[in-house]
Amino acid sequence: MGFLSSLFKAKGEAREPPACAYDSLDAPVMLDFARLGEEAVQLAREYQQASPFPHIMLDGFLAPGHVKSILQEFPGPGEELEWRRVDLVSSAGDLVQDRKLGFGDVNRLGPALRELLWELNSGTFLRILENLTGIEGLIADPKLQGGGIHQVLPGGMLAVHADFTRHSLYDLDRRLNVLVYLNEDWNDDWGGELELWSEDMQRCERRIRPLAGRCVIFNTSQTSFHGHPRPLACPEGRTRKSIALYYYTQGRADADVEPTDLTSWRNVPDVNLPVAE
Amino acid sequence: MTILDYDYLRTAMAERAEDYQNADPFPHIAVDNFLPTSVVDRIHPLFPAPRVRAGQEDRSQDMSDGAPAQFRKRWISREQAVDVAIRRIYWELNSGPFIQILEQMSGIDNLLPDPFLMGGGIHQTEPRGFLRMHADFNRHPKLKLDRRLNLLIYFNRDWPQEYGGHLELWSQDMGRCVKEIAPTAGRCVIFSTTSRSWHGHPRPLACPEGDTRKSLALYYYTHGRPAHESDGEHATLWQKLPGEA
Repeated sequence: MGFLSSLFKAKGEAREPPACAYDSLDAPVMLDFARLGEEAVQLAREYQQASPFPHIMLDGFLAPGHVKSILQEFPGPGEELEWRRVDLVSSAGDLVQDRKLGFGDVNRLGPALRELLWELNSGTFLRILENLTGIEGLIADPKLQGGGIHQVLPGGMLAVHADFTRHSLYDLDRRLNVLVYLNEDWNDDWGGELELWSEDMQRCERRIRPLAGRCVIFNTSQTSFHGHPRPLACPEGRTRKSIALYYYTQGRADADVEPTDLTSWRNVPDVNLPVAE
Repeated sequence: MTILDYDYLRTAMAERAEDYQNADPFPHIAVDNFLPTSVVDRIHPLFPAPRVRAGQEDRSQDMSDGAPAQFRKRWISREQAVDVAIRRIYWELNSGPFIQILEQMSGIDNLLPDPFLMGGGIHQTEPRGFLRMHADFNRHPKLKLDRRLNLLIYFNRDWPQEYGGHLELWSQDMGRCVKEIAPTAGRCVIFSTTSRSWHGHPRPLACPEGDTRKSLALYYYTHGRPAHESDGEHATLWQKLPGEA
């Protein structure tokens, strides 16, 4: 039910809602589009030349006040939502996704989360992504398939993988992931770092801690291997929280990417890891 | 705290799928009170005063004989150029829950929004202006998607019949006007777009100077379309009214 009509119905008759009811229409936007727009142009080269695949980490993407508003309404694992939870075992018999919850029905989320998800699918943000990544004609996914809000419970993990490259509903090519982290006061030894691995799975080139307000953007292909493969060591009652948006194009120029709607899982070798950032 | 009332829209749209899909001359629907009066009143003053001087008309789409396709009509597609309240309406109309209602009503699965609002956004036409009958461009050149639905919301308060500006829907052979819909404040018109879904407001507006015909337009797309609707990629197709020189 719309917020205006619910006001009408509560009073039993149509009347103008008080001026403050427009707060949601007139509230300032959450993302600093002007700053992000400038950064996208300045950082385009760094993004596109990054190793092991095009990516960037942006601190302060989401201001601390907005992180707080979002955390206040971020649904707990026990709340009665239809959380997606699929504990997955790969064809090789390895546990590859464990204790990871997802939810993408925007109208059942609070206003701050809904606002952020809308802003991340807005034309303004899509243009920023195009300028940053050099990928033209990005398409947002209104159904947030596989995306939305994510949280991983203590002990949970997501093995290193390359994402499906084809959206099964829309038959579109998956091009970009945008992850926004929401974990305040996250201890170093709780883990949960996003790891970016080389195409040959021999080197972990970057470990990014899932810190509040931080955004990671990266190109997806059949060799953009990423994950947080080590069981989370955060205490009971805490979870690793993030927001995930995926972006598509209709067709792609880098024709060596095979269309598949399967996630491609990898085991991590026992090698030295880079310092976590 | 959504702008749209989803309970109402499920009744007014999703449950009227048969009406929509069987409508003449092509699938369409008019939904009154799509936006509450209070939202219309909030948005109405946010339409910028048009600054169109004589000789600055967009003649880029003129017909082959030089006749103007549209006259005294202006629009703003760029999201950043409009007030945040208008942007929030775009965002909600482009989000999953509303698109699901559009899918249920139209029978078209897997609709995609165009957040870039190509050709869409806020539109206004000044007195004496018009938009000739036309069928829309059928493919988004940037997103490479097929155009399937138009959604128009009107913001014209105190708009007597004599001001005109009715949306006209014509038969496939352009032989007759089948439907006229007044651009009344809060009303939403949704219709399926093909290469023969002729629509426009082709008669010069009779509203007084200082007033304009105001609307908001969003278009929805799919990847691919049914073979019987595939007519090759084309830009907007314009039509004169029967008997017009």
